[in-house]
Amino acid sequence: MLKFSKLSIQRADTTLINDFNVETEKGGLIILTGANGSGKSTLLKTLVGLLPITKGEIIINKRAVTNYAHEERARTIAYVNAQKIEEAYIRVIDLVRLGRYPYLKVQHEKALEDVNIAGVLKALSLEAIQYNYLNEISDGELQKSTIARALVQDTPILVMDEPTAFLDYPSKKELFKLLRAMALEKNKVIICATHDVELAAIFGTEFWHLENKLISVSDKSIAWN
Amino acid sequence: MLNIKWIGLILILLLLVVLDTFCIPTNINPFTDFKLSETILFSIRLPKILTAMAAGIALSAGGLMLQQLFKNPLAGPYVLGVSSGASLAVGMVIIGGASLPFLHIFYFQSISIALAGFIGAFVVLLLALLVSYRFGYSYILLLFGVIIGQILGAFQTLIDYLANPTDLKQFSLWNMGSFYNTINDSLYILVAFVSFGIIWSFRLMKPLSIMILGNDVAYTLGVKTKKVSLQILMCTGLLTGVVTAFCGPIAFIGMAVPNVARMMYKTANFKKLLLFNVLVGAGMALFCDIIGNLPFFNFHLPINVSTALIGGPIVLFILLKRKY
Repeated sequence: MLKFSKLSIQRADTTLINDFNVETEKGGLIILTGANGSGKSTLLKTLVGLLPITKGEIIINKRAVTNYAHEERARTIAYVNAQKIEEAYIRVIDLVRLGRYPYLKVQHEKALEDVNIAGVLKALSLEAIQYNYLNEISDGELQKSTIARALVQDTPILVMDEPTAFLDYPSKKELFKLLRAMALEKNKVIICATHDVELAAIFGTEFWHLENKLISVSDKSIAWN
Repeated sequence: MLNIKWIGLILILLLLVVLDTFCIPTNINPFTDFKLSETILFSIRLPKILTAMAAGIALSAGGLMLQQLFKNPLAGPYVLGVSSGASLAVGMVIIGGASLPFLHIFYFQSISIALAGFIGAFVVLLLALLVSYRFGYSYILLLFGVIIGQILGAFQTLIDYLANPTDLKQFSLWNMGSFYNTINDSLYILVAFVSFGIIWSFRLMKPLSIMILGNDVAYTLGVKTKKVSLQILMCTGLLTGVVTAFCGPIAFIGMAVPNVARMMYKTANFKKLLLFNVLVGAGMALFCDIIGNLPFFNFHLPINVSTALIGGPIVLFILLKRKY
């Protein structure tokens, strides 16, 4: 489903990632770890198309990502980062619905019906606050709402850059549990960069650790040993 | 609840139009003295109403787009130095262009003034965008606007200093803002430019509403963020540039109105928000004109006096109420 082939990434003459090769055939929760500044975010941004590939290829469903049209890519990979949303006067439910944007042009009104938005809200325990405005909810709830937005985007690949930064411990645990279940049941590839290694070790199915420009891949947590 | 807001807004707007048409600055009664009323109505009052509404619509739409793009509720055409850019460009065309004979041909002068306003506004907006890319969407952007405004103001002062007394007086009056300078061709051009800009801005609202998630995330949802940002700047430049060209640099409407609109009409549907916002903007401009022309003043106040007196406290309220 997702394949990195001889991928190298450079930023301003500095090589951040060198010759990364891995192939993921089926869904799973991939945990990406590495020190601050090691290039985790750069790798994820390159995967979602925000940064260019220096060398090598990223292949999704047997096609290089560079051959995907912009909208098509939006229906294939969803992205969550830790950037805070400054908007105050929109409802949680409307924020979540923005995830259907990539489908609006092809399906129009149906775009909002054919994914289980209520189910996603329930899974993230956002039901009770779905009609609240963003200035009435906590940072953690806001973060869960942006994660719900990405789940509603309903893509085979989900890329998350430290999605748990603002969450309390029970919410973090809930989230990892949910991500694992979604990855395995719906056969999604979820790549999650995180510093919550203890929780990640319990729920992850595959572990990528980035150190000295190289990524080591394992089915056990290998971070910081 | 939703409909009450719309109906209320439209009723208030109609009331303001009627009041500003027939009672400000003096009462006219079309039933008693038809001939005189007709002249006043068609050559003074209606152009004024149209100008005020076009200005209110354009500035509030520009303000909304800038606030959303820069994710800063204090952004606005005046604060970011956009109006100063337009002023300077217009000043150069008016004073520098006076020696060029082709500028006096019918329509040509108005169009070149409008274009100068647009170019001046757009250049400053482009600089603001570069600053925001480099430093993020922060107070640096606002400081940038203030400083750019000062620098451009210095050039403006230089032009004022070099200008002859007649031009200078006209220029100073223009700087205070007025809805009374647009007649015939300049009114048509103002209305045409603003209509075009408004249609354009409605088309930008859907992608702009996705950009509340941040530009990176919006990009991964299929929004061409760089293209949309550039179009927002061009559209805002057009709207605020042309208004500044014909009405002078008008403060506070562009900054205050979108905040009021957002607070009153909370929605994620930005097309509806924009419509609500421009109606509030038109109403605000009419209200400011009425305040500036109340009969007991005996003279009419420059529009920037009333926009500052009304818009200033609103902006202060928003600033102090904001969570940091």
